[in-house]
Amino acid sequence: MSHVEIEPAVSQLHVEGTAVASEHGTLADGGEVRGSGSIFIQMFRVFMQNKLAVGACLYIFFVVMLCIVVPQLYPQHYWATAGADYGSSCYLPIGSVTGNPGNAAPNAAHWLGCTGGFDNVGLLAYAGRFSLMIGLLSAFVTMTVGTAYGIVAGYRGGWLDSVLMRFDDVFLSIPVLYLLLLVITIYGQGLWSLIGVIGFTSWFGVARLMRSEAQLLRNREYAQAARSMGATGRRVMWRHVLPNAVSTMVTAGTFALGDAVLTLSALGFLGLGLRPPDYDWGTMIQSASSGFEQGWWWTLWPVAFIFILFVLSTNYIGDALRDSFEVRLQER
Amino acid sequence: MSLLRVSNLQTTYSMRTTSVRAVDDVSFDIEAGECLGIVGESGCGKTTIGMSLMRLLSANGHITGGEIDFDGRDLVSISEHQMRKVRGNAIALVPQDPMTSLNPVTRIGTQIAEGFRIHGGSKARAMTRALETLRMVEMPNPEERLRQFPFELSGGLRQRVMIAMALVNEPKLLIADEPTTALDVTIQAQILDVLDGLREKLGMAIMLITHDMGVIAGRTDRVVVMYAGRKAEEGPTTPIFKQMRHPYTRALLSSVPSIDAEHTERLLTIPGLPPDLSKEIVGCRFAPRCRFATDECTAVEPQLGGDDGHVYACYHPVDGPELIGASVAGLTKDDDVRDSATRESLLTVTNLVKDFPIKSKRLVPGGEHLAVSAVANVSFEIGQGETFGLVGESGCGKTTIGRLVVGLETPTSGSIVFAGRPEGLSGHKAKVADAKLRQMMFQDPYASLNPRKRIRDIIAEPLEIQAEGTNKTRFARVLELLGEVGLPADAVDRYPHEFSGGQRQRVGFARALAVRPKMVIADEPVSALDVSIQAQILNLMEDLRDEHGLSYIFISHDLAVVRHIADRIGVMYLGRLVEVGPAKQVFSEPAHHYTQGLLDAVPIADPVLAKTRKNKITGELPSAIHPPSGCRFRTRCPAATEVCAAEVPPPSEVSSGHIVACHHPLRTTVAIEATTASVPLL
Repeated sequence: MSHVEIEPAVSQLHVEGTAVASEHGTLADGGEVRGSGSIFIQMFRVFMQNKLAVGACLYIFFVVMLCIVVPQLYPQHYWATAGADYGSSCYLPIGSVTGNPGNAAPNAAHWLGCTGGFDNVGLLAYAGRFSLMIGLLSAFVTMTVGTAYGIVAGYRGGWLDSVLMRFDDVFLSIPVLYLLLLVITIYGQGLWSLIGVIGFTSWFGVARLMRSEAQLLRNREYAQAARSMGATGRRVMWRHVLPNAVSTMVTAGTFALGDAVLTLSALGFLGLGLRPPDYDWGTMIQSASSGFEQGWWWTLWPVAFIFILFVLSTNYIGDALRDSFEVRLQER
Repeated sequence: MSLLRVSNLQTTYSMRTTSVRAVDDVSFDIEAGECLGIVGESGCGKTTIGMSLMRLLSANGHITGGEIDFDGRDLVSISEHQMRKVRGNAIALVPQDPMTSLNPVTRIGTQIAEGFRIHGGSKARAMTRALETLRMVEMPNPEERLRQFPFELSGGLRQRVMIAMALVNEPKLLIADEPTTALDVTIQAQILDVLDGLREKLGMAIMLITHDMGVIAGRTDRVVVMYAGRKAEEGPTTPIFKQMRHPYTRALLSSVPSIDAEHTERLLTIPGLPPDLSKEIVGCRFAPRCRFATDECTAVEPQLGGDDGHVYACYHPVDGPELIGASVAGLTKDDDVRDSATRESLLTVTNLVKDFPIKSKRLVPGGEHLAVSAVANVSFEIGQGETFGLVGESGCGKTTIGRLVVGLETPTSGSIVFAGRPEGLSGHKAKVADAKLRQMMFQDPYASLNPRKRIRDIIAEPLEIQAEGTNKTRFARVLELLGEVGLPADAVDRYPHEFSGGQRQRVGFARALAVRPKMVIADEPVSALDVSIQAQILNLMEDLRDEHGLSYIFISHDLAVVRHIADRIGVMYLGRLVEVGPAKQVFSEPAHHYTQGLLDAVPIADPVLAKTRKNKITGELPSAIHPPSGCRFRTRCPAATEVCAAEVPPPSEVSSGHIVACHHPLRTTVAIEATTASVPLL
């Protein structure tokens, strides 16, 4: 409704001050332009209006700090998988359970209890390091490959688009899990191979998304305007299509991060995750699932909680980012 | 007792951080059977009034005060349940956009019958009633239409369906919100005629909301002029046009170019923009843009006053319209100076053809290869410094010609040659060389500016593409251009969304001028803007044309605007150029029946003249996939005979430079050799 840009009083002053072709007193003056500050500040303002996303950001910050700080503070044997210390307080008998395999319930010394001789807080943070790193790097791989592939296909169109997209269709029609199993069997379960495997098996959807975005943007009037000025295809792609696809990219990127962490957990649960001494949340869940049957609830709940909240948070942040990139919302 | 009495209506929209009072203390009456026009620029609150009456405001809008007394009931206080019984029954709405207001998966008959069924009509009667209403709106072949889906109907026919839907329960009041804005002039005239006829037949009241003074003039009994959420003036239609008292009403009328103008005067503009309604406004809302404003105006808001029936809110009322020629001397520009006969040729378009192929049924052997014939054998020539206006209804191919000239489309056949283009270039180099000569200005100033770029980058882009100058010289040129188009220098670091519509179009214009082209192709450059802003842009375009000796191809559906700016005019119909000639002659002595029909259909802002005019063009634009044989206009032409179907009419000359392609022209003509070099070909 109100797209009004100037203070009326200001515009009057301005009218007299500008030397424009207004020889007849009828004004060729366009009036003052309202500035609303740097585009980043405006984006930040819109983002901050989404309380859920702000909470999600705080939570993710908290998790990241946990993963960085806790392993530094805790004594080595609480988290390193080099070997369990049977003298540690994790092996104190709990209740009438005999032959306690180091699964102490939450207590004053171990706030979240122990799993297999390790403190759960330390374990969560240690496993989180791997989960987050793999998640982040493989999401990066996903986005880079998917965006490049999709934008080229969508912008160029024609036969190239057809070929690229049929290729994409083939991979989309294979269940990702089969693909993962196959590739992991070939390349092993190392840290870097997992990053590569997850990254290269999850970009097909992103490529689709970016292709439709590029198809839309290439026909926008500003892209046509550039073409009418004699701009090359490369210029239009870099200057006009890509910058306007950033919002979609960032949103897809946050979802990709959540998905990558999720995929890693699924692999861990299937026993295809990292091998000791490396550890991740999925492997934690997998080892906890047997303890759960014994009534050792603390082996599963903390990791499940922290992990589900993390994936949820990435989704909320993605939504809020999409809003803050929407230029029209910045006006209000 | 009037049918509808709105008293002190106040409607507020709550935004993220502020609230906007879109309608503020507005009162008016509508008598049974009366037609009330509500007119104003975008954002003045006219649509909000209509939506408040229907209680169909968006989720953040609320009626925060006042009463709406309709037929003895207060529509503000009744429950939603009761309101539902009023909507579509006693009060019905005809929305603006017929293309999106119909459910695409439901048949026309079912959609019309729905309203009847909701308000208790029997299932058995529903289809009969739908058919009756379709007949009422003069729908061709109504029985057939009942079974059709919306996509099978053109825009004009869809708007008839929308009106039929509104009529199904014989409402006492019909709210028509910009009912013809999305339609072509010939269709607009048809729809307005239908509405007029229905009012007489059914005795219902109509509230006609529009921005177009021409639409209001011929059809309404009384007019409310809105400005910034307030009623500025209200009165019977003729006094509003002939003896208006509010300076805003006067300014609104004088900024509309007139189609019958003897002189092509400079347009009078309203400086500045409407106020921000989210802020507290002291004094008269129009004062900052009003040349009669005094201290009194900015201090205390004027109250409505005036004679019985004609009220206005102003301390310094004016008396009637501005006498343009007399009061502002020296504003008339001389048509003789802009004579086109002596110009050197700049652009020569010869036998231009553009077909858009439709995917053929390749799987079926022998499947037909269909194509939309967008431009069919069009030739014209434009001289240095000349403004060539291209007019026609939507789908006539005028936009395609513009896109062909700037190289956004490749012609199927024919040639487009610029004088002064270096020889022997090909591929990308040729494109860049062409771009140096001609630049494009787009219709939607918002869509044509990259929202992620600053103004400095947007305006400098054509220079970068031409690889002209250094960063420093380019920036200097950007500042110079901003000055030329009347924008402050601190706009360089702003993003497009921070500008108003008119300012954005100035940016678009500055960008088009950046490489000092010889020609600017402007595709509907002002049709997305309010009339007062439109006048500013048109004046600016004229000023800079004269200053830099620019040529324009000015593409528009608005005949008055084209008449105002163009030296020569080409009238297009379904891909063909049917008439070309000096603007003055084409408008005063049209030789083609289509041109005559277009001129008759244009609504004019004069209530006396408007009532005497009669729309002659009937029917709809035929399909461009199977265009009519011979003369493409023959299916809608009042003078069509057998020869029109058999042969494409050859060009003939009415007078020097005024050429028409018609077998039965309205003026006497002389046949010409199609190959004579000096005359533009058809």
